[in-house]
Amino acid sequence: MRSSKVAKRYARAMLGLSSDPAQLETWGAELERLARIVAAPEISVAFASPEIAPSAKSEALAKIGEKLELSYPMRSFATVLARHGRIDDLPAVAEAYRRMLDDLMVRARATLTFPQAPSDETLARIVAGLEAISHKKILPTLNLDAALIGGVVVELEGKTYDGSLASRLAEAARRLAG
Amino acid sequence: MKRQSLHTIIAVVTVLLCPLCAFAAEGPEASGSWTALIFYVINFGLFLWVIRYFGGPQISAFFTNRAKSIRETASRSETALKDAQALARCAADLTAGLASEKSRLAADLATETAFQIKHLDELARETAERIKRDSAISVNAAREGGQRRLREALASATARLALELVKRDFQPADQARLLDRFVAKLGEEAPR
Repeated sequence: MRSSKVAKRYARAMLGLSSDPAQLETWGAELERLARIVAAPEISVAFASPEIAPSAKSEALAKIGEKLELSYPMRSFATVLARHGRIDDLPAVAEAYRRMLDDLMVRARATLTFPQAPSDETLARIVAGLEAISHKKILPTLNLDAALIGGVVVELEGKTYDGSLASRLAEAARRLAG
Repeated sequence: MKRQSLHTIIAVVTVLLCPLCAFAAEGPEASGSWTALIFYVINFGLFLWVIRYFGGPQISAFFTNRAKSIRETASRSETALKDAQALARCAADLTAGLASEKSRLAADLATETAFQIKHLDELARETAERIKRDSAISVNAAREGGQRRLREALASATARLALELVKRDFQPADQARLLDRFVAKLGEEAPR
């Protein structure tokens, strides 16, 4: 809970640095790349180790930023996080930043699971339906799960819309069992 | 008291030893003599007087004490006898009371036994009814459980068969129809 609050505070500070949507999107992408690197098991262990001095961690994070060719504000932001001993919170900050940016841009992310890859037209129709429900632009993420047999399962803003054939069969079996 | 006893002993010894002197003297040939008789009589009288004078009070006191203790013993015996008689009376009363108590207890016991038998009879009837009811409930539960398990097994088998059939015969058109329905449903849920 505390980590989440801290992450939101840092994310809000980063969002406050610019009002240009394109710039904010770029920073979001950079922040996610940096968070993925930091969250990698071998690197996260090193950053969590008390045997490594905070200054060394800060320097390492700066070098990672250089290698990833991050923008200057993002490298500065990473340095601030490292100086405050918040490197472990970087994935949470990236997540909070993504959520806040989505809210700012009036958009939502949806996970769509199909039994087999859908056509573009099908995907567009479902995304349009989801946009009509949420009144937001939908950023779809596709998953495949053959166990669904047919239909689709959508997860959007914490809700699950299950239109799969496997679920219908399971429901029918439950009804038969009484 | 000790001094008086000493005097008594000295007097007795003196009276006893005086005739011994006379007996020890070698006398003439034994023959009756008035003098000797008088001597003996006087001597015996003295003996009686000395005995009475010195031993009389002690003997009297001894017999007085003895009579007193005998009277006391007799009195105690009499008291004990009275106590024993009173105890005997109490025992008799108690025995009579116990007899009546025994008859009363026997009557109570008979009443209680009859009550308990009746109570046990009622309990046995209730238990039998309860066992009957429980058995009926258990039988019903077992029957319903069996029916439920059978329904579940049938439903599971049906679902498995349906799954196999659907998998085998599922066509792209079916998927398109499912997605159409899904989109239509989304449209219904969209706030107007």
